[in-house]
Amino acid sequence: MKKRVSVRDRFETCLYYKHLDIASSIHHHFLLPLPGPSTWAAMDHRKNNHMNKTSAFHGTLKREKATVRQINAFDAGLIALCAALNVSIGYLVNLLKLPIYLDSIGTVFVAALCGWQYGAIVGLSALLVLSITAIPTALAYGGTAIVIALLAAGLARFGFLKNLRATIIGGLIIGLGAAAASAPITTLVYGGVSLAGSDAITALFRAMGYSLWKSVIFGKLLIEPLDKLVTSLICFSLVQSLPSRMLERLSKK
Amino acid sequence: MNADPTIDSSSGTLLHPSTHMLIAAEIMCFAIGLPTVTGTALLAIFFLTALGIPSRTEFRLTWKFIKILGLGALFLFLIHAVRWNPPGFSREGMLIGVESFTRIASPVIGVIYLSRRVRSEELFAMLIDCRVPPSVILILFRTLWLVPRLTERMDEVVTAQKLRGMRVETTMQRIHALIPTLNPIFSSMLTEISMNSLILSSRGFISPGRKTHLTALRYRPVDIAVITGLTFFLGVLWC
Repeated sequence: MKKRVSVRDRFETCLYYKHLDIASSIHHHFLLPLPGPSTWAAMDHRKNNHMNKTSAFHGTLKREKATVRQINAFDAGLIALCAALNVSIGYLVNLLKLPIYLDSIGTVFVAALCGWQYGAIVGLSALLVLSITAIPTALAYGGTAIVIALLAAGLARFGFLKNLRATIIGGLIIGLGAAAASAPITTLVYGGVSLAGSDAITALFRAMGYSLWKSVIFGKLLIEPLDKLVTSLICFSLVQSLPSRMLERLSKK
Repeated sequence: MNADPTIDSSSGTLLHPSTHMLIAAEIMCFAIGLPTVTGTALLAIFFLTALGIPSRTEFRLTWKFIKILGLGALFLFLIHAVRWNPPGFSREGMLIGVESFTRIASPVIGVIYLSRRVRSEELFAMLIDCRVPPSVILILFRTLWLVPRLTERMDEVVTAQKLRGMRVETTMQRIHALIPTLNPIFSSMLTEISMNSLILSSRGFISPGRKTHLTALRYRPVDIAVITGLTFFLGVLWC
């Protein structure tokens, strides 16, 4: 016979999971010491007690929790912040009249510190928001964002964003990777136009008599390494300026 | 008194937001898939229709996107249609340019249409109804919320730096000016995000369970009729 779940049981279960969330958040945010074994044992005892009472309801909660737990509120906030940085940096670039895009600062920063998965999510979220608010064709460059995240995370093992020399070399490598990943999309999908600064250079090479592929590749090779070099140097400066506690917390992900 | 707190969003529109999305997606796909002239004509009709129907939202993106389309058209013309040596125009290049322009214009016009028909609260409600994980919704909406805040802060910091005598004459000076501008913004926003996530965790936003929203969305027979009719019409056009 199916057991009936009382309102009190439901409330207490929610309270238990809410407490766990708050406890983990406080631990994450303020680096408080972990609760001792007795506390965890007490929590487990309480959990088991509830599981016996309302197994169906708890089973659902536990299954949902396993998937939702993968990203907590701070991770989501960090991803949103870096994605917003990718999108809104265009405003600063316009304000200072710079000849580069700098639209992957958040991607490089997060991928180097937290891993390529985080970088890829940041890149894709930024492109999604960018395509809703500014350039609707940007979503096609999702592959480029993933390549940038993969390269930044891979290069982080060799001192990228830790020492200046590795950062400069890494920036140039990421630029070459980004150029290689975005040139086919620009050429095949959009006929050589990316709605960014490199279009004028592509038109210039085309006027000089080069084929469309060569014009796009040369244009990208001129712009992307310089752009990603400056991006990497800015990320290096951000890493240097962050408090060590925050840096340690980001690096643990 | 136990009044229903949900707001019926149907005032001013007949269609569900997902129907609007399907309409935009169908027309985009057909515009790209059909022969160049037919596809461009279909897209032009869709664009004029999107502009003709009064906007339901507060977004003002149309003019911005039209400027983007103009810029794209100019560069496509310069890249494909203009022949520099000997000077002149290429007819084949013009056709390739029009084909590429259709591919660029399809998503732009689709977003223009959606930005005029779907409100942000309806998008939120639709994502909740579609059981999209709360973390994904949180990332999307918080990014949208953070962009103007970051822009505002950047403006403040750049103005303050300029008042302090920051030199921005050459490109190198501007790049040098960028770094001290970004660092305090990023650090302060990171602290803000940290505190905000604590509040969201304590309110259980990421915790399991179905989320609620205040905008009631309903599918009506007209949704099915519009989608069926449009698919049939586009199918006939395809054949």
